[in-house]
Amino acid sequence: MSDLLRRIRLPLLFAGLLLVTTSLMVGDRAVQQAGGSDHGMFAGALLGFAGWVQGVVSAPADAAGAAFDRYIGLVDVAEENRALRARIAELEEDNLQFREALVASGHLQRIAEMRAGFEVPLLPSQVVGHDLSSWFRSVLIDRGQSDSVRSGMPVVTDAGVVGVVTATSSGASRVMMLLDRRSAADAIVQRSRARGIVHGQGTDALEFVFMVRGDDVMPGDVIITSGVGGVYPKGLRVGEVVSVQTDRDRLLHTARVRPVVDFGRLEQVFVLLERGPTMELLYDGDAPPTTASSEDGP
Amino acid sequence: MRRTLALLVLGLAGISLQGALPAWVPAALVPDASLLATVAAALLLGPAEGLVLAFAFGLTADLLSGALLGQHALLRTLELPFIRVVSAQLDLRRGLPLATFVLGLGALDALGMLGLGRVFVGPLPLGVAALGPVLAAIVATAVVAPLAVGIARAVVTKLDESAVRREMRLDTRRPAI
Repeated sequence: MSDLLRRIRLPLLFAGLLLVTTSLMVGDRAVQQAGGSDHGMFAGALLGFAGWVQGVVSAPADAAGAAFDRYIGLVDVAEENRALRARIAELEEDNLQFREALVASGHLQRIAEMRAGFEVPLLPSQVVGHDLSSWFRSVLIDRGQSDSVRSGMPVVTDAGVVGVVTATSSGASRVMMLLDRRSAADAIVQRSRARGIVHGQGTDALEFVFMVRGDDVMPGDVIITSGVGGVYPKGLRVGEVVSVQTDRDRLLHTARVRPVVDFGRLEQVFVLLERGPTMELLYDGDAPPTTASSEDGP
Repeated sequence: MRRTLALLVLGLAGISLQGALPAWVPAALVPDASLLATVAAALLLGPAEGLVLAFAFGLTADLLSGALLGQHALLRTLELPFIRVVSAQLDLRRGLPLATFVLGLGALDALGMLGLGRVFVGPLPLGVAALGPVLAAIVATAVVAPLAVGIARAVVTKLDESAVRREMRLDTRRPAI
């Protein structure tokens, strides 16, 4: 009996591992279709550990880059400093006058109330790791559940949309970038308000699929999020149309879009600490205490 | 056991480093550490330990990439017996045969990703823009393979030597008569 067990131990182990991996894939496929997951203890610890290691390894490169930028920045800095000081003095004077006028008319209070209603708290975060696979586009950031980051939260930079958080651990999170071919966002052309869907293609460009009405979309047009779809707030910049492929026989047409975010040089990003309504529905069970979300966003 | 643990630590460190390397070199030129760790495990460990490590390396790669959980793990689990079969037929201790074999293995791995992607996620991109970085990463992995396996082999040999030395030291303490 023990001889038999010894002989079939290896095939059993092999078959068991194949079964486990297949089950994991089927299970994770369902999870990813629902938007992502907040990892369990072991997976979370591994994600956190990798985030820490990758942060340590990236740090010298970041520091060298920052030092180089500082050195370059020193050139002409005295002249620029003088000009900026003069400009600040002018603006402070203007600002003071405007504030006085607003306070006098009671507008300041109303503006403050309006901002509170629209603003979503932003959490600054560093990109510490990139996707291990060339087939997918995601990054690892150094903020996780302990910073109130949850799966489904949008991630942006000052330039525009980066992607959405798909997995979190205590101290790190994975962000699926808009470039990933599984990413999509409802978007509009800023100029003509033509509406469509922006898809990632797994490359450095995006695809905008839309229904043609005349010349709704042209090269140079800026694409922004529409707020529909409940993932990204309205008005975030996505990219610029590079070329349009129109075929009059087809209902849907496509445009090639160059992202406004330089995904190859991502360093600092901001997590919007509030999920859109769709994501809120998907993650109803683990929803953190948030303020009321708005379809129109900030 | 010490060999297995050492390779596990080396592999996990390599996989973690892989994600940080794009800060230094273009992402397309970063070798696939989980594939290299699997090759090292297949060549330096027994079949059962190798299988478990290959699965662990694949799972770690899944966690640190946008892939489905289990996607790399399945491929690594399938690749390990394949590497062992090939290494029984060919001498993979030399650099050139090993690099050539890893080049082929990387191509098979890419085909595996395409196949699994088609079944579980939907068709993966096949254009030049998408395949270029994949091919570059396969070549980078093949180039680095002899060095990576050499480091793993050196660590394992060192551990074996220290174990032998410890046994010898115990022997010398016995009374001469």
